[in-house]
Amino acid sequence: MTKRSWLTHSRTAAVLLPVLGLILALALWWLATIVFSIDAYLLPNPGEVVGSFLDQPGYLLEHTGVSLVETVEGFLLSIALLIVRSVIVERLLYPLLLAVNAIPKIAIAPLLVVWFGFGQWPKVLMVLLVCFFPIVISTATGMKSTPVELVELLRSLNASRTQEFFKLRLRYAMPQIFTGLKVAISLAVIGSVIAEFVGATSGLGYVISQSGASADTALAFAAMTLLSIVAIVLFYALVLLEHLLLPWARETR
Amino acid sequence: MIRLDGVGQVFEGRAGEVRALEGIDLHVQENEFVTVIGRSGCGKSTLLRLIAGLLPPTSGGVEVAGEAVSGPRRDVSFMFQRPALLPWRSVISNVMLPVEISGGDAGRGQTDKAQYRDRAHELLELVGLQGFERRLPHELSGGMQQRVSLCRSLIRSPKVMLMDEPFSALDALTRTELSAELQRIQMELATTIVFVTHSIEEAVVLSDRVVVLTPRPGRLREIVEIDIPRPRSLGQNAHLTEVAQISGHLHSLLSEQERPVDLPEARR
Repeated sequence: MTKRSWLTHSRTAAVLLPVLGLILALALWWLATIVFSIDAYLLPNPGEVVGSFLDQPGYLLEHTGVSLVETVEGFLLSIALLIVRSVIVERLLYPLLLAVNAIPKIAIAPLLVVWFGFGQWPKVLMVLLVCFFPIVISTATGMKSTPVELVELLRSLNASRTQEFFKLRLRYAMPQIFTGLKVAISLAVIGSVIAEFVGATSGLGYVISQSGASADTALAFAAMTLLSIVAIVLFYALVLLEHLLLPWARETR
Repeated sequence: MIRLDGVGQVFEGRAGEVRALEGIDLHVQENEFVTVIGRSGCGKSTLLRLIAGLLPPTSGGVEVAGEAVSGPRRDVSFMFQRPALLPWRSVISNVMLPVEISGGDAGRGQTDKAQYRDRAHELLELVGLQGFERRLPHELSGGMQQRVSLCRSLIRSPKVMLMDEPFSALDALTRTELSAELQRIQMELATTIVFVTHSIEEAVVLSDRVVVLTPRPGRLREIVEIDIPRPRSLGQNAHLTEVAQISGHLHSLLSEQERPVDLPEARR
């Protein structure tokens, strides 16, 4: 076997390569700060970022918790909305949904603050706004993907519309719905930060905007790192859930 | 068991009307195995869907067991060209699907699921799939999947089985095996079967009568009786001459038809 095939096919390589990539990037970053002697307020080195976290771990984790809760709430709310939606309402609101989705969310953020104040609600709503669209689209596509012969099979068994929906269409759409959920969860984290930027007294977005104002770049980096970790954890939580719920989908699609 | 009187079917296509079937009169006796054969686009599948109650005929009437067909019946089962298994369900729960969707057949008591579960195990054993009950469809070969599909269509002990080219997507060897199994099962369970195929071999091996359809519009060309003793098979056969004669006859019936216009087969 050649070296190349080991790098692309081995399982060890599949784990080692990303870790190696991360270490390389960190090393380059560190090296750059030393070689070009960059000031910490412009670009802190990785050690300073970690140090900044260790200075006040309680404070940072508390704000991480706030962002996490907003993100998850908005995400769950958009799933809930999807479940209660009806065909008529959907048709009625679809153009509106498209229009809202076309507006940059950062432009809506100040409005949400004006309408709902500085509390948690405008953040949750912002998350909802960014999440809803990918979930709706993927669900709609998934529902239409049911193979004709399966629909015909259920008809030949005299299945009711409800049975057809729950026993076939929804189940068949699940892998695609999950694709939408995975896109949405990544966007959800961004949504919460956007909302926190505009008007908040807590959350990682708030920490980042505050640290920017006081030129504490290391703190901003620490907050951003935590944000990435939140995003990664939420994403892989969904991947795990998909793995557990849809063991069949890995092989058939 | 099945009665078609002057059945016609017209589809509204984008390019105007398509006459799929015209003036079909056909009586299928109880326990009879009838094969419908014809070129693609001759309305074979449409005929099956009319009997299944998946499609109302444009003209004429369809009766099953003395009752006019107005929708899918629980004593009629349908088997498709593809296995049509639900990918998230295990083999056993795919077989149980009909019972779960619309209950059992009237004779067996509506809700006795355990009884059907036993029956499902029996059927899976009958087709050589014991031990595979908990597997998911993607873990099975195409032939095994189609066997599961066969068990599913037998679970409610249907009076009539409608089969739409069920073996056409399989390799030749599996196809021969399944034809043999189907004959055995039919002799054992005494079901009436209408089987659509475009394979002359399959028709000769399986059927009591072969219905030859002409393409566009689908009309009855001829009904050929086959009284070669059973079990028949293509491989080892005591009646090779008869098989060859009838195959030849069917072949000439099919090839004397003018070539069909190159249109995709109209289904609905």
